[in-house]
Amino acid sequence: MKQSLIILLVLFLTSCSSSKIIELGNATAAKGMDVSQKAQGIYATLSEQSAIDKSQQDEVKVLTHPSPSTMALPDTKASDFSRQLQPRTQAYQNLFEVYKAFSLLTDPKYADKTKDAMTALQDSYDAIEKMPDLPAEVKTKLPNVLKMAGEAVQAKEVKKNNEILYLLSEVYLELWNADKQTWNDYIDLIYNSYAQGLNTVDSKRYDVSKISQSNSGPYSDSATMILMYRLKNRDDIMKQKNALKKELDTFGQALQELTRAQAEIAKQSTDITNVISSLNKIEELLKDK
Amino acid sequence: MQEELKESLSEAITQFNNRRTQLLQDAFTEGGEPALDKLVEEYDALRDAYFEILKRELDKNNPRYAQLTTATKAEADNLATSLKKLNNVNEIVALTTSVINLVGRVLIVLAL
Repeated sequence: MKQSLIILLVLFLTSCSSSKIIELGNATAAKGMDVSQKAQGIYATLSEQSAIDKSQQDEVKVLTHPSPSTMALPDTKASDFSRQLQPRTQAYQNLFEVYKAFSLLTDPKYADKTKDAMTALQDSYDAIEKMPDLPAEVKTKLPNVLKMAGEAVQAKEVKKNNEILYLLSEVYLELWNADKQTWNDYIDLIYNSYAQGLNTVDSKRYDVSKISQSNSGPYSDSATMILMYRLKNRDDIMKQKNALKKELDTFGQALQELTRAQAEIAKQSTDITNVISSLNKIEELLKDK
Repeated sequence: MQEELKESLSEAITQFNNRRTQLLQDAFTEGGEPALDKLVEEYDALRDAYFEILKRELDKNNPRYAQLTTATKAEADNLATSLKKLNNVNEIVALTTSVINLVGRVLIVLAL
């Protein structure tokens, strides 16, 4: 009797920590899917930059040509980064699939299914009149004990796979950080070239009457209006550039928090608050702003 | 070396862009359309060279991304095995239930 009580107590304590690990694993899997999807979105945005750059360069070529009436239609060669983007997009597509599978493994309803299956088994047994009745204590406790045992098995599998995912996410983070500066340089060149080129467009090319239609500032002389128009254009382009760079930076932070959460779950004694804090930060970082 | 070249190219591109209209006008005045086209071609070549350096920087990590793709595939297989293990427990219980139901029916049929 004493021995079975000890076994039940151990199972109960294991079950408490097991269900927590399963729960945290499930929440991490969901965030892992979000982060992987965000990465794919970022690479899609980066792949669009080549066409944006071509179009901007063509525009600058027309606006800065000394004799637009005689110039041939510009056709700047687009810089093709598809060979660099393809393996990255594929790697994050696979990461998404892995987190999707991890979310199935961390489904908190698994243990309940085991309990339900055990209850169904007992009902079938009880339905046979000729069979001796199960002791009342067994009838009430067996499904829960089986549920706890199921949770322990599930938690062990969650821990094991979380450790592998942690190692994988560390490499993803390392590679992201290694690429980050290059992508920032890429964005800088595209948008700075455009803004700088536009800034040199001859004032004579502007129709001040059209600028004044959309200008709400208290300026009347043409030179000021053109300068204000140039400033607004430059600021808009810089805003676009900085928004892109911020998106890249935010994604890097989210990936770092995901790695932190998994490192914490992989520890012998997991600090739940650390995991929850990292998951909340990911939520906040990936929120559309 | 590559980093220095990258910086020089970036600087040259910035310098050109900051004086773009004036430089194009000067080229056009001095040598007409051919001189202007040549200058624009040179500018495009500078940008192409800069982009090539960026691609090379990214290419360095390409094999590691390919490795990650393989590693994630292997982990997906691991997860499938783990899921199978979990399902096995429920499947065994469900199978036992079917056997007991069958025993019940046999007992009824045999009227024992």
